Parts: sequence; structure tokens; C-alpha cells
Amino acid sequence: MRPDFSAQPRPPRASFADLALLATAGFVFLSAAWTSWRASDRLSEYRAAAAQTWAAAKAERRASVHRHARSPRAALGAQVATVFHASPPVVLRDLQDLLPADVRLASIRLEYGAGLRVWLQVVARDPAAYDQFVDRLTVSPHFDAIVLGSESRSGEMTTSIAASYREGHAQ
Amino acid sequence: VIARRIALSLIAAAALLYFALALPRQRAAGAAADDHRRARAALQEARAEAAAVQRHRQEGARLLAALAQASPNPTLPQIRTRALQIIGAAPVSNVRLTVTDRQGATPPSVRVHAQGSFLDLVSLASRFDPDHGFVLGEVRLTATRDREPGAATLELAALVPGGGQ
Repeated sequence: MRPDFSAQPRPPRASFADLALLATAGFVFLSAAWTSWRASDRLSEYRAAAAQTWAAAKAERRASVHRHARSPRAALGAQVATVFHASPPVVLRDLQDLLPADVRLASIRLEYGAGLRVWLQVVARDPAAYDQFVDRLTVSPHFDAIVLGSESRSGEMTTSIAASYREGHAQ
Repeated sequence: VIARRIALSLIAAAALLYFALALPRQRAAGAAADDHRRARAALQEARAEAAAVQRHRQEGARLLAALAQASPNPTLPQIRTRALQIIGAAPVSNVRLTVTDRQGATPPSVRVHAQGSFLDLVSLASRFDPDHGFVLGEVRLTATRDREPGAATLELAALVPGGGQ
């Protein structure tokens, strides 16, 4: 005997709360998908922009190096400009301002070219005085590319320092 | 019941999508943005450096032209006389002067060795300047404390653009 389906109770229809839950879940899913897509999009955008900008910076540096490699006359011209901005009294005055009382310069060598390289032979009464000089030198706007020589750190110290003079801060 | 299951599945999928994909990519995008900022700073620095090199170069060419105009092609004796005048005006001793003529593309040069007070020697070195037709190449000052306080030795090398022969 076949069952009488019409006599069975009908399955309950989805309530308003269920539909609202479904809609909210759908919205949450779409939001997550959109956020993922947007993050991916931004990631590729920033990566491409960064790569492009790094390449431009590299090209600019290459061009700058190329400008440095020039004729002997241009090199001499650059040397004249360096001497003009960084004459010995100017450089020595800037060095003098950095010297603590217990530090003296045993010798100074100024090497002029496209820039000015300064070589110092330093005598410090004690390591603390030398440390103070190094601290002042490293924060000075007049000197960069500093190379500190070997130091013994026992009693009176004699050591060497090399640095580049920054002409832009000469005056 | 089915609607609730679907809703829960969607929420689970959304959570998975967010934590597995969106969040790592947002972090990576933040790192890429930082990298982009660093690249922009590097580019600005490179441009500033290139501009400074260009200015330095132009200024050098201008100064060199002015120098050539002020003292056009001095002969070796003229260079020597000029160097002796500068040295003679300074209170220094034990002076040794060497004048070398043009050698190929290298312009004539002078080398000076002198002894005196540190300040007098710095003043002497600074007078070998473009106004007197010289371009300093190297200046070395060494303290000679065994002689007297403030005493030093100067060794100087300078070029004379456009001069010689």
C-alpha cells in the first residue's frame, strides 16, 4: 500500500531569522573575499611601484657615477671647487671645534679631489677623551665616511682616523 | 536547518579566506608599502646627490675658467716666482720648493716643505689657492713637539692649471 504523502506534515519553511542569518553569512563571506582581493591588488601594486622606484634610484646612481668619471680637465675643475669650499683653514677650524681638551692632532693630511678626504693622526690622553672625540666627529655635519684606526685603549692613545669632509656644510 | 548549515559554512569559509589569504596579504602589502617608501627616499637621495655632483661640476668649470683668465698660461719661471713670493711672505723656515713642469696631461705642480708655527703653516697652505693660480692637491701638517709647542712641518702639493712649457 502506497503511503499517502498528502497526509504527511509539510517540511517547515525557513524562518525569517534563518534567512537573515544566511544573508549575514553571505555578506561576511563576500566581505572576506573582497578584502582578500583588495589586499592582493594592493600587494601587487606596491611591489610593482617599489621595484620601479628601486630601479629608478639605481639608474640615477649609475648616472651619477658616470658623471664622476669624466675628463682630467673636469676632474681638475671639481678639485678647484673642492678647494674653494674646503680650504685648509676652514677644515682645520671645523676639526678644532670637535677636539676635546685631552686630544691633540699629531698630523693632518688633506687630500683634494672631487671631494676632500681627511687623514688624522690622533693622540688622546686617555681612552675616554678619544671616545668623546669620536662621538663628536660622528655626529658632526662636516664629516662622514669615517674610518677609525686600531686602538690600544691603555693609557695615552695614538691612533688614526680617516673621514670625508662634507663641503655642503663648509660655510 | 539547511539555511543554518549553509550560513555556518559561509562564515567558516569567510574566516578561512580572511585568515589564510587576506590577513597575510595585508601584512605583505604593508611591508611592500614600507619598501616603496624606502625606495622613494633612496631615489630622492640619489637625485639630490646627482644634482650636487652636477652643481659641483659646473662650479668647478666656472672656477677653472676664471683661474685661466686671471693667470693665462704661466711659464715655469713665473710659477716658481709666484710660489717664492707666497713663501717669502710667510714666517716659516727650512723651506724646500720643487717645481715640476707639465707632464703629458698633468699640469705643472709645486711641492713645498716648510717648518714653522702651526697657524703660520695653515695660512701659508691657504695662500696656494686659485686666486694665486694654484689648486691644492695635498696638504700634510705634522706637529713637531720636540722643537717647541705649536711647531709643525708642512708638506704641500699644488697644481697649476694651464701653465708650463
